[in-house]
Amino acid sequence: MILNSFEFLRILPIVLLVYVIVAWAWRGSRYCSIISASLLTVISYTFIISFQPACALFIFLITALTYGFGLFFGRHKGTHRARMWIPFGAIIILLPLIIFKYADFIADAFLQACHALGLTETAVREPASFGFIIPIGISFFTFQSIGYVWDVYRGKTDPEHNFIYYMLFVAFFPQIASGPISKASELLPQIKNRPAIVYSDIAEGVWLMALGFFLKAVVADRLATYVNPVYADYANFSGSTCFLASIFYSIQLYGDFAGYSLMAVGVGRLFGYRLINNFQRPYFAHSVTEFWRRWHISLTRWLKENVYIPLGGNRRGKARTYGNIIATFAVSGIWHGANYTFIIWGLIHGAVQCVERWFGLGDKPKNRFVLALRILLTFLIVNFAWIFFRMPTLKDAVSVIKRIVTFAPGASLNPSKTTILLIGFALISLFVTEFIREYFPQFKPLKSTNAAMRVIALILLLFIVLTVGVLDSSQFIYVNF
Amino acid sequence: MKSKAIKFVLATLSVIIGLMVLDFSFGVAVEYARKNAKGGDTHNNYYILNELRDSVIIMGSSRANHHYVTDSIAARLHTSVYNCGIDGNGILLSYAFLKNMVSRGACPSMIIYELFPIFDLYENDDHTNPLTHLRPAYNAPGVSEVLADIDPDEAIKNRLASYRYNSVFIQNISDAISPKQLTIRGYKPIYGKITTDFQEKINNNVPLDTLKIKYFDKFLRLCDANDIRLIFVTSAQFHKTDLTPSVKRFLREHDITPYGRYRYIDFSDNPDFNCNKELFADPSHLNDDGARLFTRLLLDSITAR
Repeated sequence: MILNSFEFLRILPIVLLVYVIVAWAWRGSRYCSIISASLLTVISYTFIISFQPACALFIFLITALTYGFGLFFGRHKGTHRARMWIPFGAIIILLPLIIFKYADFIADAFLQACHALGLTETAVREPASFGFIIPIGISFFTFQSIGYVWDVYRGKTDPEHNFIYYMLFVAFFPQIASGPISKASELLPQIKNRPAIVYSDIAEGVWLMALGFFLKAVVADRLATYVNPVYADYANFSGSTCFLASIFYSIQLYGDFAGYSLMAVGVGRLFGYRLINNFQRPYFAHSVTEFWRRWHISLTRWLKENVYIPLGGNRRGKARTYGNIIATFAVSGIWHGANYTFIIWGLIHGAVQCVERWFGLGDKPKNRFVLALRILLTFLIVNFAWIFFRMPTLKDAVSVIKRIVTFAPGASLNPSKTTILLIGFALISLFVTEFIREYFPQFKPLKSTNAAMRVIALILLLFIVLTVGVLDSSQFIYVNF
Repeated sequence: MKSKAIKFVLATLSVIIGLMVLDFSFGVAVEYARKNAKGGDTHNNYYILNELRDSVIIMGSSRANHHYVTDSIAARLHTSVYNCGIDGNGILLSYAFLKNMVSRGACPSMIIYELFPIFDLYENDDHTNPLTHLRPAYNAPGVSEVLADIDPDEAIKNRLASYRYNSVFIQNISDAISPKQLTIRGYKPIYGKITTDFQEKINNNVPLDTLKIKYFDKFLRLCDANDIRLIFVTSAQFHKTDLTPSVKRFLREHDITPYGRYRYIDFSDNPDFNCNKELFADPSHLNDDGARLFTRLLLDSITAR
């Protein structure tokens, strides 16, 4: 059951109603928080089981492990014992992730290395495969719980003693499949002091969900109708068609992931919870460094706090800083998937940020023309890197890039006029709304104080999604990570 | 608190009622446009689902749609012909169309079916391709059956006109005002020739799709029950692609062979067409010249027996 499915939308009002009634019935009671948390935990696990029944077991395993480690590091805060156990704890927690997501990749790399060193007589033709099914959202819930353990170890957060509260922190259903990756200090206090559901939260939640649907169904899935056929058969398409597909993919990925995140934040808000906003108009960034302050914000924050800073951050000289940036983005690449394409994608982002740092390109240019050029250049660099992110192998990615830079001849995809019109509508509406939000933040027609205006705006938004969105409940791209 | 609750309920009701009113008005407008379409895909779809009474029909995917020249067939067989081939579709849509015709008492006497395993037999998609073409008539016999098998929720979702005419309303309105697409009794000619070299992608390891097989069987039974002469054809191909062993076995089991109960005519290795850039608009489709040559050869073959 995914957030944009009809099944989910049908069941959500019922679940919300039950939750509201239970919370209302126990209002004022000292058990209110624990009962609400228990109910939400049951809802969350039911949601996870509807995805993959076995996945619930893994989430429970990670929950139990990190809960135990949290209590342990809380009790032995700052001691030698804690320092001894932290690497062991990290390995134990990461083990399911490594096994399920990276076992094939590691085994394959090992076999290739053996072959390269002449340790095997025959060439390795078939990639290794253990045939594991990757539990949904494993990278997200593993990182969220390891972040909690690390925060407890560093004394930045107190260990959670109530197992139900902690179970909900790890498995909260809106964010389980694709984040955002919440910090314990943000989510746990909300769980423990059950937020009262107010009407404005429900209204805001519905708004955010509708906006998320717009990004997913009207923008991302519409662009996918161009991107998918081109990338599936890129060898027969011209360089310009491949280039256009690469640009559309950049926008598709944004619509898809930002759409999911908005829906997740919206569903959380319906239940009174405030989750971190994962995107801030990333394609208006004037540098790749700034891009990462606007794209997948919760992951960037996690990597900064749990990889970059522990490695020394920028406190140990220039060379070490560059090394740390590269290492952090290599981790980001590996986190996205067990494939060399993701590692290259991460390294490109890391390398470009080193160059920007070297030349001092971090500040926002004052000249509007220079700013526009820098935004365009940043977009093109990010767009280039997304080709590695999208293609199944390095060979495919390089072939697509070759076709683009050599203006290779070939077919062009000729979508119907209706499709062109709908793609145009998606692009223009996205650009206009993002532009207004970026440069005229005070202009908020959709947040009008006039209730009638808000109702009309919501009706129109839902109507647009229903009439021009691609309503096939397709899966979100980031669920694969 | 009480006033806030009342405001919230009122706002919720306003959104629901407003959306329903907008949806109903939208449905009335688009349905009017569909009924009054002067041409294009809208008229084609409306005609097939509501008015078609021709005695020979062509069915299948875009290859059916672009390869079978209806006026040539009509002239040669002295009967009325309509091409019901639809891009990206196969047996699921064809069954729904045929069942709909039969239930309207508009049973054709002969069907020429362009066999294309990707859409007729292979497991290669999520079966959603026919939805756009079937939603406008979601309650009709045959149509509701296929829709329910693709997604049981379709019956509920289709009550919303904005869902039913999702994305296609632009085409519906434009076809009512000024249709741009030329069709000759459903046949859509393509002009132009292949200008670049294409790489062929072959995958011999595609399993057969259980839902498609189910509807293939139903399609055969429906033809038998209504005495419809059924001819399967694989039309000309730029790159000759052999049928996979599983498809060959399937055809044999159903007696779809050159001299079988259901006749099968295979043009896939015809040397006049293979790798002939003059006759193809793209690697999968003949251009109008190619289609006319192919139709002539096919009619020779059909009438010779």
